[in-house]
Amino acid sequence: MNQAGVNEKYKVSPFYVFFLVHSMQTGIGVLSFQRVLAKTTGTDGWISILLAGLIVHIMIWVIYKIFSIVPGDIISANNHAFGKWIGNFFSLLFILYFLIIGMTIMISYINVIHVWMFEEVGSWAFTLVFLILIYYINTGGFRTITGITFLSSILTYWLLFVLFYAMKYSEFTNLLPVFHHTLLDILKGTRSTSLTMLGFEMIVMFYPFIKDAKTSQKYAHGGALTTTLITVFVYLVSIVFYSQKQLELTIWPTLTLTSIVELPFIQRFEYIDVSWWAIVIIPNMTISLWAASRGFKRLFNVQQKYPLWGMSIIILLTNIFVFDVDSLYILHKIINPYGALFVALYLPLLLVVIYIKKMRKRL
Amino acid sequence: MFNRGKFKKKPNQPNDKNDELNKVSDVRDLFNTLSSSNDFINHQGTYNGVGYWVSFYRSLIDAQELHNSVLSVIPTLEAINLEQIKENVPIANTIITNTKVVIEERIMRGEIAIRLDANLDECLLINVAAQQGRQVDKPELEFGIISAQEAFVEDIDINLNLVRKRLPIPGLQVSELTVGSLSKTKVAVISIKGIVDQENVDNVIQRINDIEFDEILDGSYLAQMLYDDSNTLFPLFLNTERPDRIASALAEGKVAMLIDRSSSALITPTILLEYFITMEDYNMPWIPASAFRLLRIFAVAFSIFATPLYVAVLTYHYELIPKDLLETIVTSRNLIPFQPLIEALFLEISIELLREAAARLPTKVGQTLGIVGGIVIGQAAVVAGLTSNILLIIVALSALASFVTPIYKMGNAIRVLRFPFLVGAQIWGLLGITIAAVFLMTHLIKLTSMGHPYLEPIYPFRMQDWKDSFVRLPFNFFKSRPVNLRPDDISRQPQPKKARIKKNDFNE
Repeated sequence: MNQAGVNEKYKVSPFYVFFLVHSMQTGIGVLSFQRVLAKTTGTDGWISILLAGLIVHIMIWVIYKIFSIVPGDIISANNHAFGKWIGNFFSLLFILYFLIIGMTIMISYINVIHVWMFEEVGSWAFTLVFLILIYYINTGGFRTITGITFLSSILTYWLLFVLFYAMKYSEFTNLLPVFHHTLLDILKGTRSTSLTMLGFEMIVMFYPFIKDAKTSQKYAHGGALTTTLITVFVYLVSIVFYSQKQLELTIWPTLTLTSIVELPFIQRFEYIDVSWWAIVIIPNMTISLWAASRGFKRLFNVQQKYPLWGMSIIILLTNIFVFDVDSLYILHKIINPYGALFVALYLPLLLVVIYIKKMRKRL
Repeated sequence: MFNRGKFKKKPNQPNDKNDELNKVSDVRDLFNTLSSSNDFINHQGTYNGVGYWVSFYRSLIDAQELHNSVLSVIPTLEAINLEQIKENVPIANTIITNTKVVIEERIMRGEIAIRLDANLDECLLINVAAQQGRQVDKPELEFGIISAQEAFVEDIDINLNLVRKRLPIPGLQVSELTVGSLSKTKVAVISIKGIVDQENVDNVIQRINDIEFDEILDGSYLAQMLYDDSNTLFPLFLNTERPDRIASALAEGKVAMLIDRSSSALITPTILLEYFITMEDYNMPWIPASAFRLLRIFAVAFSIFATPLYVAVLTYHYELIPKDLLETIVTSRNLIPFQPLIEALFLEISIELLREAAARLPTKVGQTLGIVGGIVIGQAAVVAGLTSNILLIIVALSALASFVTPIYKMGNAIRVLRFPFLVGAQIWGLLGITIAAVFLMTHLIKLTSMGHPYLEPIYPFRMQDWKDSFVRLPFNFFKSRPVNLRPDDISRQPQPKKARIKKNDFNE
């Protein structure tokens, strides 16, 4: 049962954790989080984002604390804390959660493609190609996944500078008034940013794959901090670009922002944006499906490809039989309160249980 | 059940006498077999009443040498026996033996066998092999304007000499192996002891010994059999005909292989960016060298993406193009009855045809073909309304750009790569190109050359190795050998020299 130990050959350097965390968090959420946030919190949205960032940092600290006591991954930690049966039940919940995250990311992105580029192509075609690609990346092992994540982060950074182009059309008085929402509104806003902030919890699966894993904590925090700052920046740019009412009506404010760009040889920049976003999205889908199938492998001692095939078939069938807007509605309902709460409540609970056990052993 | 064991014949107990007889018949058998070929000469002579035989392959030996150094020596001896001849023949590495395997191998390599009538199974073997082959000449495939003007030839000893002249140190170690049951090709694995990671050398030797193939005709045969992953477009071993390239690779801590009867030597382990490096980059000041290297890498990117982008934009996203530019493109395409993809494929394939035909034709005809094919066909296709002017420019440029890679095999890989991207562009436009690019990235990340990552220093990211990747920094940055190779001795300069500040009145 103890396969948490990983061969030294397959491990990656600690500084890649920065890219793994940051790129896993930055995904489909950045394109569309502004609308819901603007509805609840308006001009004070950036406070909510900072608050969410703070919670993420606390969570990362909790995760590293857990693994400093019980080295390994979440499955060995669960077993250590709750014994075999209950621990396995929670591990299954985690696997399910990873699968849902991966599915949500894929379906959201396919939805974006449908709206912005190809209306008439069936979801199943995109899903099939993405799944083949994900499988191909997964067969290279975790080092290949890290490589793709790293390259995708490097290759997509220039998209940030596109946002500066929109500043030409900004109205900076939109930033005011500040601090006129209640604390409850701000907390609600924090909840609505969860899709942008989730993704750091993948550490619980790939922790054994990091060389000198303890030293990687600062990189994880750095990745989360970068995500928070970028999210704040994107939100502020959206606020000054749109009016409040307009922002509440725009589904993908970030994409609409970029469509204003006009260069001497390029118009309608959003085509490039949406296509390029595939490079951002593919590592996200890959890491979450990898985490789910790896968890399955650890629980039931099967080869990793079988659960991966199974999950691929589930996702493919969902995309064939359910229209993506409908499934998205359900998935977002699951992720937004329940997924985020599951991670945010369960991990501290786990830490407490493990800590108590450790104390008892000492006595 | 029926106790068949007792009916089995017992094998003959070998005794000394039998062994002796066997051996005699062995050597004689060998000479009988060899004599069945018409170019095998058995020359019989007598001297002082003692008969002797000289046997050799006419086609393998140097007759001049045979007369001057061997046959002319025999009349000067007072008594003839093999020892005497061996003493007096002024040729090194002669042996007296009666083992069949050794005799066979040496005769096949161009030695002569001298036997006396008294004992026909003892041979004196003398090396008078003829050295046929090219003279060292200018490099044909990797020509350099401001670098050394000599290239490898087909003879392994001459090639070794070219490498050793550049590295006159006892640490340069050569292990010779033989591969191929028919071709018996000699392969020399070269490395510098104390610099190279010995594990790499052992790996290479191990893999070469594992090859079981009948014929190795060229270095590329060997390279493909030694690849970590044979399902790839990309060359994982760098094959070169430049001795200076081999010398610099050895000095970095790589392993090189010379193959007899092949003018291309192999270098391993390699990285992707190495294929865009010429030896001239080190002979120029670092700024132009870096500029030209970046130009090469840009050319490769252009060569892969230009035509697919044209197809994607004109099939799906013509809104991307501003109005004024769109007018130009539409007027050039308004007569064309095909989809952009068909148009692009038509041109791409005709360019490939031209290239293939030009490569097969004699030089004089080839030039004519270039003019006829390139100019006449291209112009006629545009006038006939089969392709647009703009696409013709793009395709011609990207064909040109695929030739800038210094290593020809990488150019081949680039040319083939264009077609999957074209398909992606036709199916889903820009998104298709992006997905194809991610596939390509994944493939490159997965590739390893002799167990070392191929995409280093980009991933795994190693800052120290960036000094000689996309750009070439000045030589005082070259303090360490590539980390990727894990060399035993990492430093290239014992102490970093202090830069001398130019003295003038300003900074006195």
